[in-house]
Amino acid sequence: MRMSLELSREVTCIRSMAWRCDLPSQLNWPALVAQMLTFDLTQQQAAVKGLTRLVSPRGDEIIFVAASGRVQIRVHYTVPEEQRRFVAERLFQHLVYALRRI
Amino acid sequence: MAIGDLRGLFAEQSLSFLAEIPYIYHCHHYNLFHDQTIDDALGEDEGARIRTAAAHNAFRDLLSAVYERSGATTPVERIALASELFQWMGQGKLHLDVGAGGGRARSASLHYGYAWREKYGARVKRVEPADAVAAGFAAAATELAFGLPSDAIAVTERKCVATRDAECEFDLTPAMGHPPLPPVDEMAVRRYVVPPVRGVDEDRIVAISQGLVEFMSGVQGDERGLIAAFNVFVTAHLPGYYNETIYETVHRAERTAPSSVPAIEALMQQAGQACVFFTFGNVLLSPEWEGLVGPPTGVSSDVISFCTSIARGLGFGHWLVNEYEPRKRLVLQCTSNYEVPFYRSRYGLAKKPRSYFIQGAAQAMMVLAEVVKWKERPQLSNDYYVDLFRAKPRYRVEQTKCLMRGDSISEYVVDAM
Repeated sequence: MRMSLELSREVTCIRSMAWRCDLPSQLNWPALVAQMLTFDLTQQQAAVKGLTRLVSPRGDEIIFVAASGRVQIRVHYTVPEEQRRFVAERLFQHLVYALRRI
Repeated sequence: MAIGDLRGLFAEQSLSFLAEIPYIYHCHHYNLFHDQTIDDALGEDEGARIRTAAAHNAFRDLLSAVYERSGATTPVERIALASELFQWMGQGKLHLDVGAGGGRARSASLHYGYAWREKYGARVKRVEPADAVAAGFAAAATELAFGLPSDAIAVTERKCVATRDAECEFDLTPAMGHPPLPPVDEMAVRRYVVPPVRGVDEDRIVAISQGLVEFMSGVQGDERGLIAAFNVFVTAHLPGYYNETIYETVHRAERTAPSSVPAIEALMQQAGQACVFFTFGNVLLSPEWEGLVGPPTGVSSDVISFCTSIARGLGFGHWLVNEYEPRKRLVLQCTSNYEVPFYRSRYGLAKKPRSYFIQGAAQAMMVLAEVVKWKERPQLSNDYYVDLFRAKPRYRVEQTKCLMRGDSISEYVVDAM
């Protein structure tokens, strides 16, 4: 499956904390999640059905909305503002690697 | 006993309680805006005094009720439980080192100071501390731990994260006590609601608000005592705090500077606008909302229904849409809200409509429904807020009925200008 990916700053009130990209909704989500879990992320129960929530040891989060293909990367609020973009890009990189493996 | 076990829900009126004391959810935008509004009206010193006193009173009511239900009797138990409760509410993690004669409290992560630094710290230099809520809480917790009367402990915040200190620090010292006012508890709240009424799109609003209530039931402070949700910092908070600060401020102005009252009431309305724009807006754009309801549709009547659902889900009361005509008119009603029981209990019948928060909120709902392009992923920035609400007036609001005045319902009519 060919797709183009772009990481953009998400609608947010806490500066540079949330980032977004969009994937095709028909993706093999369980396979993607399995690959993401190889990157020191753990899957935690999402409070809402239909969401998948992966969390880093520091508390950064990647949220998948399978029905729409939306991906939100949330950098933990304790990360200084000037570093948030780099943290988000690092998590985005994990996502790209995981996508290439499925 | 877990804090969550103390929760209660008056489901048909969308009101929530902790140990039978009302509580609601508000985000840092509203909380900071609210406090600024009080300071703008009264000046920084008097504003801080009123805010600290209101938090002191509100947390005394809550902690008293929590101790009674949990069986916490010793100072050690009570201080530990108070800190746990404050953390659970998303207000921050506060370390209390206190005795019957006072003491100290400190924290590196209090909701108000931390959020203020996050929101304004890069652009604005603040010289006054921001944590009146934590100050009032610390005084109340100390008094109740050691069996002291109300206001037996005075508190001063002498360092604050918002003023670029590494930690917030508070001094607690002995003061003259006085008898507390009776709490505005669940029994009082039930006295001042009217039977719920079905509104436009009621079934969908009920279903969504129930989903939100379920979601919010899992929300609590993290190891720092903060809640980052919907891309904002959220708190479980006490209506007693908001109400006492608002109505003491307005009543004081009515006694001492009547000509300033319209401007102060407009400020209170603006706080309601800020809440809907930032809190409701961020909820609508969140992945959680997308999972619960779906992506934004851009349909204005959806936005009106969704905002009504969010208000109910956050415990603001039974808001309902009585009438909605796109681009022209919204008639919002409430059979309950978190302002009425406090006002009626403390002050009796109001002479005029006084739900300033919902007046502003209703106006903002119309703006969100009619002006914001939801499918274009709007950035809910301060600049956009100013553009929407300050640059060009689009809608006016009038509260035509008010439960505080003894009317049969509260009603807010928003018309296009």
